[in-house]
Amino acid sequence: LFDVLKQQALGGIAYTLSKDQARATAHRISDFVYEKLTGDKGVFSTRIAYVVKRGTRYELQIADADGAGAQTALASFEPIISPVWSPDGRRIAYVSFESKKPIVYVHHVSENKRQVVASFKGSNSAPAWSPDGKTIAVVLSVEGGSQIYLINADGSGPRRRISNSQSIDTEPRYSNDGKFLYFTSDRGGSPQIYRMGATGGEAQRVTFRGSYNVTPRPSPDGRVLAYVTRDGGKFQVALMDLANQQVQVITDSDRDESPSFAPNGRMILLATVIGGRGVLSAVSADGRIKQRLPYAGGDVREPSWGPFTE
Amino acid sequence: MRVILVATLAAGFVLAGCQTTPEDQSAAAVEDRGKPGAKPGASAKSVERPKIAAVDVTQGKKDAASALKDPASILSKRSIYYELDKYDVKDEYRGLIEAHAKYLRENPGARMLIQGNTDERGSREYNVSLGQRRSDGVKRMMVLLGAREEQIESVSLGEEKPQSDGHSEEAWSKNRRSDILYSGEF
Repeated sequence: LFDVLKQQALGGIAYTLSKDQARATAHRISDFVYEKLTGDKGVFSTRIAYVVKRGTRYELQIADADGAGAQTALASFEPIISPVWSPDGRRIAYVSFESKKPIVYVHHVSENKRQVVASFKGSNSAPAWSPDGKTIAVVLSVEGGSQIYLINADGSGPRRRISNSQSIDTEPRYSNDGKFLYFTSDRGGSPQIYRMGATGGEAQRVTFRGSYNVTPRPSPDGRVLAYVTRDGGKFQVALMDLANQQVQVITDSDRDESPSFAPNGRMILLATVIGGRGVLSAVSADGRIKQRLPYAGGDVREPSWGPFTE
Repeated sequence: MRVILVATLAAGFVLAGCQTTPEDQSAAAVEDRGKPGAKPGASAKSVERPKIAAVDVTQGKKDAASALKDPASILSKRSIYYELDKYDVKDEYRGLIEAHAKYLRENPGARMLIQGNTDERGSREYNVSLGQRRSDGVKRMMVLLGAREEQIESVSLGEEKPQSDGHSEEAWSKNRRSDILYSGEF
């Protein structure tokens, strides 16, 4: 457990949420997990991060995977997006708009402090951790357009540009062995998912079905790629078997985004909108079981499932 | 400096030359010091404190800066709107961009932030990139019209700060936009 962060720069206050709200969510998740994953105790000790919007207030919250013990790591009057856990579970990188433009921060969870890691001219966003936790891939517009760069996770040293196109290259994600980066690019005319070496170089296209495939999220075992596909105006989560390129759409709503694998690869947490409200949804990796996880009194989005921490 | 020196010297001459007429002396001294350009006396009529033409750089800036907020001025118009999936500036906004570029040209110290935005559909991060395309396009146009690169920063807010909260095409069309901000507003 850790203290709530005071957002001093904004003059805002961070306060502990009433436990009632977290508990309702907690019971649903733990029921679901208990029913479907009996004996899989790994995920109970993991944590999740997500963003809650209530009125004009945004909060980055961290909770146990069963939803208990939600705490606010950042409270802001401006949006927060793209939270991602470091591989060691001690830090979260995220994008904050508190300075009227996107800037990437790394939050040290148990020490309750944060640092800016990317604040170049233009926009800074889409952080992704390398498996060794030393490098963060980010998307910068400092040299024009949106391109992928590598920076040291502690913010030191120069940036290294690794994508080189006249198009949008964004949403980088490392493969679990750290050798490749999956990313979204519209270099072919429409947004599709590509893969290139972790230090850049030639990219191969990965998705071919449909005209909008974004947000690549490789599974922890590297066998499957989750992503968001648009079909007939509906945005849904799909899984591609990387061995045979077979695709299965696993959700049936129309505004899905931000899929995040549990560290055991057997569940996916994603954000969706039901009845005008932002809610989280937990889906089994085979798509058969779905559970909705609303947040009382607010819109919840941008989930990120943390790693195993032994 | 030179002017003052001359005046002082002139005063010295006057005083020296008018020892026997104390009235003249004091009158001359007072006149000399009190009124710029006043003639101190017959013997020093070449000395005049020239009028200084005042240059007030605050007035122009105040006028220009207030135009940024004046509803009657085109400079108070700060938003450019886009068709779906587009980032080129429609002809109807050309005049607006020209006016802002002119302001930047004429006010080299002015700083601008351009924020690009999208409607809510699709990936948040991909929308940050699409918004960036929009603000980059406006910046490029302004630089071509004579604004300096250093005066402008183009950024994106993606779908995160909609102008309209609805979920209809009408709302979405208001959210696909670039917003122009000046120092003090960001």
